Amino acid sequence: MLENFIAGSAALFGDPFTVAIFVFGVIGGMLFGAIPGVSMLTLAAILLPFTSDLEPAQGVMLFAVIYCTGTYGGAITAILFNIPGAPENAPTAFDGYPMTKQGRAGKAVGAAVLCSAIGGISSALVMMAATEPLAKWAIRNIGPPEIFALVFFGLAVASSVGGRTIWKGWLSVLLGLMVATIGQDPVGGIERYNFGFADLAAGIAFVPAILGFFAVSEIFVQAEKKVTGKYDAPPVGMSFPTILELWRYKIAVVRSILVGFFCGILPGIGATLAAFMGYGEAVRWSKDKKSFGKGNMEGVISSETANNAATGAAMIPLLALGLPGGALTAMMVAVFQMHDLEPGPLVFYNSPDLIWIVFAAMFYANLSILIIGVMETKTIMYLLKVPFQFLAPMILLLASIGSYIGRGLVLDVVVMFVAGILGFLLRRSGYSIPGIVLGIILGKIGEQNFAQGMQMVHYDLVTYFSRPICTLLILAGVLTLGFSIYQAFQGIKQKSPAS
Amino acid sequence: MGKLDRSHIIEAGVWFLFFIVFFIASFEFNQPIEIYKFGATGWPRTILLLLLLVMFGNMAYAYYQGHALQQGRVGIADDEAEKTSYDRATFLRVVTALGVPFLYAISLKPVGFYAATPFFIAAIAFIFGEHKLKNILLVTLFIYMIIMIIFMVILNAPLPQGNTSPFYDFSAFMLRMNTKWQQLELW
Amino acid sequence: MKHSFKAAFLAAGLVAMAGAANAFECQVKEASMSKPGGFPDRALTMIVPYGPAGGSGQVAAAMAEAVTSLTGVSINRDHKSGGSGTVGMTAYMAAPADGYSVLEHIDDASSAHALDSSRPNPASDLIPLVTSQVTFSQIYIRTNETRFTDWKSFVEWVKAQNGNATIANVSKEGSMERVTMKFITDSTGMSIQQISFDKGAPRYGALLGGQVDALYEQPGDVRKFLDSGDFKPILTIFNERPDVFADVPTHREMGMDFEPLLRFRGFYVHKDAPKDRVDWLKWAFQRGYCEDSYQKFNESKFMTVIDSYRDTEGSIALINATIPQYREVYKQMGLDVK
Repeated sequence: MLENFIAGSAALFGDPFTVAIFVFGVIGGMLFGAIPGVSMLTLAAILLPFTSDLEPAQGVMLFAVIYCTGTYGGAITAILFNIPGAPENAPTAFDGYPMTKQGRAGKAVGAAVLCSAIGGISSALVMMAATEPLAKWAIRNIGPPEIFALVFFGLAVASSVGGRTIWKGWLSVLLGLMVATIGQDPVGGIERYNFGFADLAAGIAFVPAILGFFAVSEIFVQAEKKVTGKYDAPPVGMSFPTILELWRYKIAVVRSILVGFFCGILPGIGATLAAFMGYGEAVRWSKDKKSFGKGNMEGVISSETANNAATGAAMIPLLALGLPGGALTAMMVAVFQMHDLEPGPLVFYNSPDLIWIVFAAMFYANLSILIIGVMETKTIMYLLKVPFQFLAPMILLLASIGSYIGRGLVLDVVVMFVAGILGFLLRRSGYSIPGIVLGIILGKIGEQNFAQGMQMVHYDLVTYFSRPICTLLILAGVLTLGFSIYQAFQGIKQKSPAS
Repeated sequence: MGKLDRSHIIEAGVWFLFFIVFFIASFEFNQPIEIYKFGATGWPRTILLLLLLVMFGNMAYAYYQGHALQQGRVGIADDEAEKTSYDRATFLRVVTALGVPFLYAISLKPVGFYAATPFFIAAIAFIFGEHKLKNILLVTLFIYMIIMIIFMVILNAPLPQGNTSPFYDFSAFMLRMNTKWQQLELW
Repeated sequence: MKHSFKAAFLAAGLVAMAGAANAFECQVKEASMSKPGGFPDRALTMIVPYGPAGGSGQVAAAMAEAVTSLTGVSINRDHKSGGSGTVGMTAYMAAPADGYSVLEHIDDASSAHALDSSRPNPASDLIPLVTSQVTFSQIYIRTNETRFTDWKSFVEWVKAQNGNATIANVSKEGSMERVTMKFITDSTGMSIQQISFDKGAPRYGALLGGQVDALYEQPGDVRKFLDSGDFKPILTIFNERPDVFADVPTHREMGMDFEPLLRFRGFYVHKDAPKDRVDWLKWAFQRGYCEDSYQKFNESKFMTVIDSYRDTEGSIALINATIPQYREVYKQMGLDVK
């Protein structure tokens, strides 16, 4: 492993152009993560078609680096403006934004910098050790039934997070799954739900859906605040925390690394679930539960450590099984495909060099969060002084191009703005936007693998459940669902509802 | 009616309508697939039925608990606290703010990116609070130029060109300028 | 055994390629052609109705590169994927017919027209500029497979499984793959479960990892697995044995009497485009086929194993032969032919 890592590092730093791409990725990811309204996804979507001119290793490496630094960058806007750069930064805002309002923005950002780096680096180390053996094992043992079971388990977990009630969490995921059925069915290519529009045969892509639900709807919310006169320019000013201050939270950090890594492995939910669970666990183990949500630094630390710990872990299902853990890893699939590669066990087989360049780059990207993060954050403060009426058209245009470029369909721009409007309306209704998006991302994968699995076992459930991993995952999903159902009915009967 | 209020009824109505529309539409493609027992409709119909079941659960929750937050939930957006009520004028402005980007999106096919974008930039700057004509023009020009330099000149991105005259001719003009410009650069 | 096969295979491949390279003679004699009325004075747009990674995306990239290096005119590829190529086709038909946009498409356009004649006919609603890839399909198994080793033992084994054997392919309703599989199962009397994988990697991974028993594919797409010795072909669906696969029997030799359906990819322009522009485009794309970079690409994809080149007339003939063939099968299959 060490020699592979050294070889990967040498390949990464041996070529000036590759280094330039690495630096571009580090800075671009942080910058786009930290500009309110756009996210690392916007940058990734815009860059996607142009990666075909790069070497495969450079293209995949660029996205991996953007993933690491963008996950950190999204924390900055979550802390400063209550706008999470990506869904996985949402829990960071729970305590980070109150800290800003208390004039402790610098402390929160400093904690995010350090913890993102620690979480990311430890995750990168585990990833390097575990991915290859897992990939070799997976090609024999993971087939369509197992992938469907994983999707099922992932959705069962996802639906229990994020809605105001479990019912709304489920409705959100089911809505996403329904949207994913638009287009052609994965077995016979029969057109479904085109409602007379030829372009709908292409189906609903998730990049415009994500851009719409997160970036565009946030712009709409800000616009509404402008219109109703509630918009305040954010306060600026920061002093960083001392190492000693952070040392107090070492247990929270270790706990979040474990939680983050475990969640990150689950395809489809990865970093988002990691951040929510990291935060949730911090609350559960704390002696002072009530201080959370009111500016407790431990909240920021737990969430940011966990989501970056998930970045390395999310690469495992991507590289080992070809299953993306979230929107950005899904775009990495496209980068692979542009170069006639497919992520999955075969990548280790066909292009081990590429893998190790990517691993090395992710390690150094997390390391560079420490150094560049502090400097860049201060620069971003200046960008944020651009008046909103000028920032908004720029962001909307970038998002439009970002969603159009992927498939060259105007439909995707329309979908993005419809998702933006829907997101704007759904934000205050208690539905889970990450749930809808995950439904859209996993719907097609789920249906296709269900069909393939059923065809493979000739619709015989005994054969289906004779596959131990599949059975285990389905069981885990059923247990999760069972517990949620129990909670759901308890919720209906609860005596003193929390306000 | 328990703790149900008008918003719950509307919510349930929207879900029910969604169910009905998608269920009826599924008959359009209800054809068997020779190699797959469940056909094209098996999966979407199963999801629709689950959706209907959960919708009733959601109603039941609202009946007993109203708008109350379920205990022990993690990771919810807390926007609910901010209930905004607008007067008619504000409402119209919010609708415009949501509608203009949508109009821009559907205009891309006939009009194209090159011709539609300046109007979009100006409209958004205006709606989002910039009312000085000079500033709007300057901002429009500035953003349009930046976008064109990045995506047309540097990246040669295939942006929508429109398919109706005179908009398509304008796109063609822009691209011709770009070609000339790039040939100049080569020399 | 594995290594000797691999070595023999590679050697055969090299010999065949050398042969093909020597035999190659550019059909378009004119090395240059003046631009009619200055056309084109800006970049062309090439609509590709599939993603950048697949076979179409790659051939579009290779042809665009060749045409650009030949003429100096740049070509922006616009990938409008989805709906098995229908979305890109619809978008192309709506674009102005001024010769500035060209279309890449595959035999799916012909079969789509055969099934539903309201869809554009690539031979008459479009003008084929060049067909630059024509290839055949094969059936593959794992090289280390022990239950069967060749086509005959495979058929026997499949029959013994009572319909429980599996083969991975792209089995959209009415696709070339599905129709050919019908021909095969009808003429051998075996029944086998087809499992549809729309993406390449999971399809190949399924065979490699033992999730399925066989794979239906074209040789260029699985070249790396053939070179690595993981897969081996047991049946060639073509009227004669190509030199590279001299050891592999054809479907006719195995007693299956049907005309093989070919996979072909080519480039088109709208039929209403001005004639002088169409002539220039024909020259550029047909001559682009002869560029070294394109020839090298085709060789790497096993596309020189059989004759891949059709000019405009050749392409029209190929399409016109293909459409009735599909229409006939669709009727037999009981599909709703419009």
